[in-house]
Amino acid sequence: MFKLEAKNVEVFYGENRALHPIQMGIERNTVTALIGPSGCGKSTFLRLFNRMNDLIDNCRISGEVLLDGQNIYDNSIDPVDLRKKVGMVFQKPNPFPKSIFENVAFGLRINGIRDKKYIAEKVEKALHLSALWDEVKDTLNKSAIELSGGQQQRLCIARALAVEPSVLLMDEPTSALDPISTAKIEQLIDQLKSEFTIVIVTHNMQQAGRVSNRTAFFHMGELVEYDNTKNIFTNPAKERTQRYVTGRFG
Amino acid sequence: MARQAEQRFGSLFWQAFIKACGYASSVLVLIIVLFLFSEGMGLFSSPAIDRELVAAVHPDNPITEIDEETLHALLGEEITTWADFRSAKVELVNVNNLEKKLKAYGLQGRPEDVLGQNFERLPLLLDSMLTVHPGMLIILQPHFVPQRAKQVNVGHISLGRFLAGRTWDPTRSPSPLFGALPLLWGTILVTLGALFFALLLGPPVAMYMAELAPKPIYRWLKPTVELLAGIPSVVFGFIGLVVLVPNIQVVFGLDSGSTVLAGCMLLAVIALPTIISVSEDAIRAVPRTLKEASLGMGATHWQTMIRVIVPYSAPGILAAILLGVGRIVGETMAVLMVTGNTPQMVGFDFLASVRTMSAAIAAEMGEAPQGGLHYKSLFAVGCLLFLLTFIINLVGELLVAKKIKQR
Ligand SMILES: Nc1ncnc2c1ncn2[C@@H]1O[C@H](COP(=O)(O)OP(=O)(O)OP(=O)(O)O)[C@@H](O)[C@H]1O
Ligand SMILES: [Mg+2]
Repeated sequence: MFKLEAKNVEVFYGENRALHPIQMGIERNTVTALIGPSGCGKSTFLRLFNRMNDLIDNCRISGEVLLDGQNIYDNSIDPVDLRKKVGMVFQKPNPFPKSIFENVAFGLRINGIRDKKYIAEKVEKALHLSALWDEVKDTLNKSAIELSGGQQQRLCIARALAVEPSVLLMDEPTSALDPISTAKIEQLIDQLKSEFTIVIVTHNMQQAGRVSNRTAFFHMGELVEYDNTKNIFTNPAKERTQRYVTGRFG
Repeated sequence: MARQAEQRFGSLFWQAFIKACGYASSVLVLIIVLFLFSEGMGLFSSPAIDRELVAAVHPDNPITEIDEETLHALLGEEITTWADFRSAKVELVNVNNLEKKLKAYGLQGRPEDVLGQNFERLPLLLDSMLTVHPGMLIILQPHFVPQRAKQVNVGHISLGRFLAGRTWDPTRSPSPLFGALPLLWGTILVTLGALFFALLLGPPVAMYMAELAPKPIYRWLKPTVELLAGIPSVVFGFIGLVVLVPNIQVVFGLDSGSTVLAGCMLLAVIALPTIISVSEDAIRAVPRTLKEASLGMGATHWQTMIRVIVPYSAPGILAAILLGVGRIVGETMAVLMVTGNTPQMVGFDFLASVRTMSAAIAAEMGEAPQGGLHYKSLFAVGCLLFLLTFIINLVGELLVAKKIKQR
C-alpha cells in the first residue's frame, strides 16, 4: 500500500483548470521530488495532501487523495486533524514572531499539551532532528526573527516535526537560502527520510537529483512522467521531460 | 535641452513647495501652542479678584497684600478678625452684601434715593462707616472706594489651586473659583467609561470583520462602520439626548438621565469606527504566510486567531485604541449635550452629572468677556486638555514602538 496516493485528482480555481486528472502513488519513507516550470501546478498538487487548498475560496477538487489508504477528502475527515499528521514547510521561512522555543512548542500547545517537561523534551528532540540544536541551545528564548534565513527555515522544519507527523511536505524550502544553508537542509532531508515520507517541490534539478528517490515532472497541469529519479534525469521516457531536465525550456 | 531644463525647474519647484508646506505647518502648530499657553498662563499672573474691582482697608490697617488663600477665607467668613490690627472685627463690604450692610448702618429707604442715581455719595458714606468699623474690607469698583481708605494688593491665582481646587465657579463675584479638578476628573471618568465600552466592542468587531464575517455580511457591515464615522458628533449628541438620556433616567430611576454613563456610551459609539477600522487594517496586515504556518500545523482557525493574529496585530490594535482615546478626550458637542454639564466632584459615580474640560470651554467661552479672568481660565483649561492628549499620544507612541521592537 502506498503512503500517499492521488486517484484521478483534478483541481480547478474557479473556471480555470490547474490540474488534469492525476494518478500517482508515493511509497513510505521515500523522498519524492516534484519538478516542472513555473505555474505548472506543483504547489497545487503538494497542497492537496494536507488540504491547504481548502483555504482558497474558489478552489474545487474532485477525485480521491489517500493517506494510508484512507480518502482524506472524505466527509468524516477533519482537515485540522489531517494537518497534524501531514506537516508542511513553506518556500519563505515563516517563523512566528515569538521565541525560538515557543515556535517549536506551538504545535504541542495547540494540541492542548501543558506538561512543561514533556514540551521541553519534544522541543529539544525536534531541534536535534532539524540539526539546529547546537546553534540555538543557549538562546532558546531569543526571538526567532533574529535567526539567519537558513536557521529560520530549519526552525520551521523543527516546528513541523515537533508534532511528529508521518508526512512532510516541502514547497521550495531552499529557494530563499544561500548554498551552505541549502546543503544543510538537503543533508537533513536525507536523514529524515528514515522516519518520514517527504514530498518536495523544487526548481533546482541538482537538488532533485541529490535528495529524491523518485521524481515527478509536471507540465501545464499534467503529470508528464513519474519514475525513479535516476531514470528521469538520465533516460526519460518522454521528450518533454528530456527537454526540461536538460534545461531547454522552463 | 530647453525641455530638460524646464523639467528640472519643475521638479525643483515642487520640491521647494512641499518643503515650504512642511515648514509652514510646523510653524503654525508651534504658534497655536504658544498662543494657547501664553493666554492660559496669563491666568496665573492675574490677581484673584475680578478685573474691575479693588480691595481697600482702613489706612491704619498694616496689611499690604492679601493672598488668594486668605482672600477666600475672608470671603468665606472663616477669618473674622484682623490678626495684626488690634484684632478688629472683619467687616466685609462688597457688591453682594452692600445693601444689607448699608441698612445695618442705619440707612433708610432705597439706596438710590439716598446715595444718588449712580451712587455718587457712596464713598462718603463708606468713609464714615470706616471710622465706626475700622476692620472694614471693601471690595468694589475703584471710584466707590473712599479717598482715605488704603488699597491693598490681591495675590495672584496659584497654579496649585487651579489644579487641585475642587470647585469650578468662574462667575462667582467678587472672587471667582477656578478649581479645574472637577473638569479634569469629569474628562477622565467619561474617557475611562467610554474606553471600557469601546474596548468591549471594537477589537472583537474588527476581528469578526477581518477573519470571520461571510462576504455578504461584510459587504453590508463595512460601509455601515464607515458611515458611522461620517456622522457629525452633534447628531450623535442629539440622538443621545432624545434616546439614551430618557432611557437611562427610566432604567436607573434618576431625576435626570444626563449622566456620565450616557456620555460614556455615546463617546464609545463615536470612537468605535476609528477603533474598528484601524484594528481591522492591523489584523489584515498579518502576513498570509504566518496564518498558513499556523493552519498548516493543524491549528484551528480560532487557535490561529488567538495565538498568531492577535499577538501580531496587537501594536496596531493598541494604536487604534489610542486614536480612539484621542477622539474621546477631545470630543465636545456630544458630551456637552448628554452629561448634564454640571461641574462637580463625583468620584466614581457614573450616574452623576459632570462637565468635561472640552464641554466647559465650549459652553463658557461665549459668555466669558475677552481678556478677563474667566476667559484666561478657559485657556488654562485648554492647556490642561492639550497636555492630557499629548501625554496619551506620547505613551501610545512609546508602547507601540516597544511592541513592534519585540517582534
Ligand atoms: N489561489 C489561486 N487562485 C487562482 N488561481 C491559482 C491560485 N493558485 C494558483 N493558481 C493557478 O494555478 C496554476 C498552478 O499554480 P501553482 O501555484 O500550483 O504552480 P507552481 O507549479 O507551484 O508554480 P511555481 O513554481 O511558480 O510555484 C497557475 O496557473 C496559477 O495561476
Ligand atoms: Mg509553487
